[in-house]
Amino acid sequence: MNHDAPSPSAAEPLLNLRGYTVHLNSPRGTVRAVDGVDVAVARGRTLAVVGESGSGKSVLCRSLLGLLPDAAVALRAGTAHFDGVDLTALGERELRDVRGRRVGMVFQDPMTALNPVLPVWRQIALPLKRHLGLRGRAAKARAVELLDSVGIPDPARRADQYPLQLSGGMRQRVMIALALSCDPELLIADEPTTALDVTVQAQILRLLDRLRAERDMAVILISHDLGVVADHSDDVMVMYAGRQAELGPTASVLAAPRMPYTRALLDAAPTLHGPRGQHLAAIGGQPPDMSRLLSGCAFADRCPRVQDRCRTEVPAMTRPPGSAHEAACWNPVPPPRPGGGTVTGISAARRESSRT
Amino acid sequence: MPAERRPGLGRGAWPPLVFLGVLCTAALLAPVLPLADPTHSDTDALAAGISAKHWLGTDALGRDTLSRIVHGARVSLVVGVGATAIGAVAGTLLGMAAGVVRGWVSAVIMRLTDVLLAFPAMIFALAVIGAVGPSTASVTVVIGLLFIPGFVRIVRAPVLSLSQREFVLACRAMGMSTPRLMAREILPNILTGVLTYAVTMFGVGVMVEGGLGFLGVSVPPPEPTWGGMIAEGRQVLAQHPMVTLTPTLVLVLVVVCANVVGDRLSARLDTRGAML
Amino acid sequence: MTARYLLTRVGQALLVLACVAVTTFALGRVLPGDLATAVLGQSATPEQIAEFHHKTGADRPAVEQFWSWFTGVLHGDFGTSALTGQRVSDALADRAAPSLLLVLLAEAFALAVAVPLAVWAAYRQGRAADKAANGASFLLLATPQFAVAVLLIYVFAVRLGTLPATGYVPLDEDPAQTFRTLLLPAVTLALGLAAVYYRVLRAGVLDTLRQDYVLAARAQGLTPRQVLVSHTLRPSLLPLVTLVGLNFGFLIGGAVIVEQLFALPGLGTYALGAVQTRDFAVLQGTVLLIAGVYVLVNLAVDLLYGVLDPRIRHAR
Ligand code: SF4
Repeated sequence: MNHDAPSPSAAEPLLNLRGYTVHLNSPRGTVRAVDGVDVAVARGRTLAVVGESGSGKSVLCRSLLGLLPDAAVALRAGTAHFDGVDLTALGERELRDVRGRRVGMVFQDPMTALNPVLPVWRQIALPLKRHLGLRGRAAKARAVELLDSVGIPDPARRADQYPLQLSGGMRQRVMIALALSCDPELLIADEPTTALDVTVQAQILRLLDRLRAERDMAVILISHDLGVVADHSDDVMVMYAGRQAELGPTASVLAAPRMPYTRALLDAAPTLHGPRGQHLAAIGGQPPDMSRLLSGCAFADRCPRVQDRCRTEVPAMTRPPGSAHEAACWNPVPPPRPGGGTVTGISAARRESSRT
Repeated sequence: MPAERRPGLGRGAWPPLVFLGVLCTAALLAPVLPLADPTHSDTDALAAGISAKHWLGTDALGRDTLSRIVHGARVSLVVGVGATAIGAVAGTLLGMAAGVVRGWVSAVIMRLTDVLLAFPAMIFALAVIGAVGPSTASVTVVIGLLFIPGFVRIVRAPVLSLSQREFVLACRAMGMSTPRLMAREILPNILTGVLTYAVTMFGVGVMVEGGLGFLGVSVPPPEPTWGGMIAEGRQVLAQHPMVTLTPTLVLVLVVVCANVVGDRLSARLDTRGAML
Repeated sequence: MTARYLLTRVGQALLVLACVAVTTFALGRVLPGDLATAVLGQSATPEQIAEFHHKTGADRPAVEQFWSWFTGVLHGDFGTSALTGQRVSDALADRAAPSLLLVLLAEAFALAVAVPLAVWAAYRQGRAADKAANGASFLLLATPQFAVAVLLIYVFAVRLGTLPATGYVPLDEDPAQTFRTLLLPAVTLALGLAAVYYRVLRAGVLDTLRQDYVLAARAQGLTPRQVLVSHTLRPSLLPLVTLVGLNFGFLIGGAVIVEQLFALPGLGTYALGAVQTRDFAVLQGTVLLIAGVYVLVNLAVDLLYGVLDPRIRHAR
């Protein structure tokens, strides 16, 4: 990332989570979906959240906005300050004023996240009416403007079409226009490119970068694609089994991962633009049963560097000696020697994506 | 897939099953049960309420309501079961044929069901019964005929998709004949769906028979039918509503019970399907 | 939705109607009893009966009778009632109005009750309101029309005396009175319809509420009302369109029991009377008209469905 932005510690964070915890009800008992997360995002910056499916990244974001069904949530603890207000203290009605208006959300599959029986502009007009009081012609005009701003050609014609008539990339652009319709300060993008072709992925990610810069938005980018993370985020948080594994500036985390899980993720991704999802599955073993209370490190069963202590004490997030970022590990991976070749994969990926 | 034995349909299904069972048994044993003669008029108790002598009261002519309900059940249940059986057997065969044998066979079957559906059902029933005379058999057959299109549709859709599945194609490739294929490979797969639908249609059959009886074209008097009892009670509705309400309640209860059982059955089969 | 598809469907519809015509005709021939004795009385002499048969054409071969009737129908001539001498097409025109009004009113009532109730129940799935509505619909589904009618008559006509149980006043005489006389029969039909519509729509709404786009709509901060009405109702309503159309076609002339019970001079009672008196021209004409409406409505619903659902309209 070569745009000038203050480091996260210097700016007042827009979103600040402290000890954020979500437990869910499941048929097999309570699941510790998110466990004690401390993280912050500032305006104009992108925080990437990385982890396997089931690592808690989606639950984290959905629970922030109160989008999980009441009956599913067993416990929510910690704080989530958004522009000074604790989101966990807000009721459904107050949250409704935050959703869409101050926090926009982009979903993974625009085919299912857009209503198939409503023309595109009507779907955009609904939040415009709700939050900005725009109706009729004004709402439609604004919807067309928004479609134009996300790079949809011939927006006036496209506005009258149904999602089915649009290509996958265009649908995701519509989804982004929808999320940005009311000028939110924070955009949560939940695997926004997983359902798209590689070339379209790059276009959508560059669009998100541009919009973030133009609007000085904060962005949370959920992904399991480290290539995407490398090129399109300032900071990265790696999650494993609902807990933070590693957190810090993207360049530092990817160049010198300290937690063995992050290391394994990187090793398993020789070319970062390889077939999706496979690199994560390449790590041996299974994630732990999250309905069990874990007495030690969640990764202990799969970790090559496991020690006795790992099984009895939960490692806290600390900055290991010689590191520019934090990791939760009792026996961190030693930092690579300067000039070592660990980041070649990522640099290659970066070159590739800048060409497309 | 072999129907695997499960503990049951869930507790909610038992009361209706017990009720239906008791009613069926009573109807079967009606001639030997110590019931009043359903056609005998007790002139001392016209349109009487509940008493030790008449457990459910009497109708306007002083005939014992309980006895008439039990005897009427013979007609209702036979028609309900018989019509459903006719519809299910004929509909399943035709539906399978329409699904497996494409081309003109399928086209003819589908157009025939369309014709049957387009025909105003009640008028069809009235005309046919008018032609052959009202009896338990004619009422059963007519209602059964009307049930066929529904079963054809229920069966044909899954058969269409089944006949594209690998195991069916494999059987074809091995030279299995069409009737054999239907009986061995396709029928077991659609039977559960047919059964569930049949339970619901049994209730509908009882209702339709009630409607015909109400119009006076079901089994003729003096044989009691529930529909006939309800119709006769209308004359004294203002003074003695129970004469009408009692058979109505029994009729509704039977259909509710059938629907509950059908619901449970489909819920159970659905979850089993989802687990496979 | 190609022209070829349209042509096939229209062709099928015509074929079905032709089959209905033949079947009705055949059914008329096998009905025992003779109109002549009904008209002329039991004491009619064989000569009188023969003359009557000659006059009504009943002595000609069946195929010839059918052909002359069928060509007449194609020209809009349904023949004349042998019993009353009235032209069948005139009688049908008179009797279509009560049937049509009855069904329209019933559908309107049913939808007015079922749609909001189903959406609300699905939204509050598992709560008391949902359970109560489910129970009520279950009970209504199991209650035959004639039982509902008898109960309604008992309560509103006999006990309260607020509404008439029978009689029909034509629309051009006194619209308010027409409405009053149609109220009980329409409610009778509507209760059964509402139970079906409620169950179908509730299931549809529940299904839609699980869709990603509903979650996305909530993530946009939309009010529950916007989510339910703008995003959920429309996709859930589509299956209901078919059902409403089917029932519309089915109940025009299919509501024999209700028409009979409330003494409405509609198509159903007309056909019922014709069955009882063996008035073939009337029976054939009425059945053909009813079947024609059914087939047409079905065709219309099929085509309408394609127009309403962009997924079908723009399917590649
Ligand atoms: S704490 Fe122990 S088990 Fe966990 S990642 Fe570090 S070394 Fe491995």
